[in-house]
Amino acid sequence: MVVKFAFPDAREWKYIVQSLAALITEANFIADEEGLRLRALDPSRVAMVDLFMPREAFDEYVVEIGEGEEKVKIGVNFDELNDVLKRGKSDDRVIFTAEEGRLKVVLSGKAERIFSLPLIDIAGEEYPTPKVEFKVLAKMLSDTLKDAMNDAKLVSDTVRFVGEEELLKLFARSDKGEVEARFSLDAGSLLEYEVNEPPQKASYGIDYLLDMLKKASRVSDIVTVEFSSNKPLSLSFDITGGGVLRFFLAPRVEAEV
Amino acid sequence: MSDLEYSILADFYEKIERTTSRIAMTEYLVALFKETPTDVIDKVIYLTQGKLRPDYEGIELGVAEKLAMRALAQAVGVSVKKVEDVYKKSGDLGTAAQLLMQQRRPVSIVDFFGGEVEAKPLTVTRVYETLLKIAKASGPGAMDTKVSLLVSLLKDAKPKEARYLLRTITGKLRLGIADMTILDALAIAFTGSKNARDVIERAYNMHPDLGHIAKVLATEGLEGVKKIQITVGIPILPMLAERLSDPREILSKLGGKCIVEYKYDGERVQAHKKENQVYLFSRRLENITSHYPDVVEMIRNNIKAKEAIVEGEIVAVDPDTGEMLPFQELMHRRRKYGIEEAMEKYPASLYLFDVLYVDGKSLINEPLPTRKEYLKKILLPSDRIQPAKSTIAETPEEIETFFEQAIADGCEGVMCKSLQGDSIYQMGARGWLWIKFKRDYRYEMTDTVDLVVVGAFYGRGRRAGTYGALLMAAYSPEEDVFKTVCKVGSGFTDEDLEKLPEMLKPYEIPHKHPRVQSKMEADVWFVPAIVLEIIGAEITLSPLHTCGWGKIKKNAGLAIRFPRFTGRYRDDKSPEQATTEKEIIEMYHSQRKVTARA
Repeated sequence: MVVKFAFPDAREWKYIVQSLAALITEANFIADEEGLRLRALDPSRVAMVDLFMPREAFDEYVVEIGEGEEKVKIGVNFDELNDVLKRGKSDDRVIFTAEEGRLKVVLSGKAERIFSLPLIDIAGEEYPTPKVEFKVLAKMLSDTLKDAMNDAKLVSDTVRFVGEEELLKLFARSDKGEVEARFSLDAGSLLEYEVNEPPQKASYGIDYLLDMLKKASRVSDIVTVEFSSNKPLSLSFDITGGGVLRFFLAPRVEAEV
Repeated sequence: MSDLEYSILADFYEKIERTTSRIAMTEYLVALFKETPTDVIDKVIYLTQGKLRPDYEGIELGVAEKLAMRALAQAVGVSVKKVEDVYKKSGDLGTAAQLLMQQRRPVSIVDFFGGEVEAKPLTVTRVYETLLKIAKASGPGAMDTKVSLLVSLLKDAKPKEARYLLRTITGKLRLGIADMTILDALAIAFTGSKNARDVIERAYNMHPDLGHIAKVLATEGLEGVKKIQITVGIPILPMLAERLSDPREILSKLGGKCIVEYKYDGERVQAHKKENQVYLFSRRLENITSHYPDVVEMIRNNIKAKEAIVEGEIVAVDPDTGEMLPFQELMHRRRKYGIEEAMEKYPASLYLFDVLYVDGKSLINEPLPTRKEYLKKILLPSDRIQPAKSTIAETPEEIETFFEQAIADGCEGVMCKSLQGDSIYQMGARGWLWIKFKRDYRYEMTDTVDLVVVGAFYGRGRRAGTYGALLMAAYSPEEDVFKTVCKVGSGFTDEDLEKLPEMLKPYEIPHKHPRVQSKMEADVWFVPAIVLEIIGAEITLSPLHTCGWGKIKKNAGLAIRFPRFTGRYRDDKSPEQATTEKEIIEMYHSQRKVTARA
């Protein structure tokens, strides 16, 4: 098997890999005719990452699939890959080649720098996407959401998302105090907003959300937030060239007895 | 191997918990046994009794509540603090678990993948094997192992299952099902009628492992059960004695001649010797080998048989004077740690009074004189191990004289035993072959009784907030019920009053226990469990109590007048070993004679 794909902006890949590395330590990239995908759970199984890059997003995409197989698995350690990609500069092109148990990463700018990492064999299951009908959809600036998370973190480790008719509210509350953030189309803080059967309410862990937002906000300025009452939340970031980096997060439900 | 879903067991526990009828209890058990596959009948029986193996094997299930709460918090995905709060509100960890599990919502993204990752239902085998692993986990990291094993069970448990899992694991299942009730149910379930009960009970007396008996019954039928024999290393149910207070009457019951033995104020022990291996079992069949290394040595060195089962009384002696010390002193030996130290401070002597098995030969069907011969043959006496002091009596005066001597020597009284041809060892039975003669019977009711707490009444004034009085009952082995005989409120120190609610709380139930017969309506009811030593002035006829109902007079039972707690918690006695209804009736009769004589 031989896989080779090249991407024009190494920095974009740096951010993608950094945001994946915040949640997972190792996972398989799956390459097939349509493109490259990665789906993995964080060790606590609370969050899921779901990356898809269509072949069109690459300026070079070659996959030679072995006989009787449909796809190629590329198992990598994200800490290692992250370290390599951190070396990328703004106008570097990045070329990945997987061959004979190694992953070759070429950062090509003024100079051509070649890194080689061992591929690892990860037996992991392949996961479906969560079956959720999202009742709230909100598009907003990634940084705005990130700021709201950092605000909420001042008082709690859980944030409550409330989707009202015209208003998206984020609450955090504890003995230390209360924090509330409000977003709406009218105020211009939301770029798009749809809600079915308001109000929709659900709570999520702030640390997970910050892990997702920290670097992914560099992948895309705009984030699409989706959730439903006591159901998972999804954050999607569009990648230049047609890819999508998406996160799913299970709700946090303290038993109320 | 076929298995049973644990949820079926949980449903059954729920029914048992709700019933107030003993007959219904047996019927539910029969239905459960019929539904249980042969492969797991033993496990079902152990679990239903809140244990994993018979008591004498000493496998303790009790996981500390703190640990159980940690596991529950992890399994449900809430903080330990949350678990503590719910526990405090509901007062029982099982109920708390059920509530928390009902509220449990998915915490993993996997839970939203749809039906693909469905939890497998818990089975009896999985529960049993996991609990056994938990019980046996030891060494560094054992706590974490226990928690993660428990979490794995709870994660797959339904709320109701969690309720009973938590109670089982913390040793608080407390369904109050006696061994005798299980024997009844086994007979009905596997032979269709209660007639086989005697055969099953005989096997149980020799091998008191209900799981084993049930398995044999289920696989080999009644014929298999008949083949069960005495096994060295497995305790036999001890023979029990009746009590009388008139030596004349004792003699006439025993055929005019009897052996009179010192009744030492110590711990009765059944010692098993198998080559160099020695096992010691208490009267309640607990394995107490580790508490008495000195006794083990004596059995090993001074019993001249390869295999033997002997019975005797362990007595603490003053290391300075060699005098016998009272029972309470001996209890310093019942500890887990510091045994060597306790052994020096409270050395033990052993007084043997019976032998049940020698080198492949069961002696239980031999008359007492023959057994005594065997004992003499195999015992190499020394200062510390010797036969119980005894004499042969043919007149009441001889009994009394020997009795006085026993009292003077620090004994509780004497045991009078039949020497007749039929004086076999009646396992697990209280009969007239052995008769207790204890101090002060003859004058008034200054002798104590051991009664079971079955209910309580709230206190007032100084006792507001605790119990004002406890409802006490005697045991009727014939009917397997507890019958009330007095309401006791005096004799309790402030310390007792503080301790009692704490001690009784775990046994509290919302209604009268099915095995309790009472005409009084207590404020609080308990599962019969705690035994207290009570003393009174006299026994009178009473329309308020059920003990001895209609036996002396129509529409009247017996009550203890001016009852007082002696301060002695009989935690060495199970409720079934409390003073019996029959004994109370006997005491009533004997004290009447005294009055007549006076």
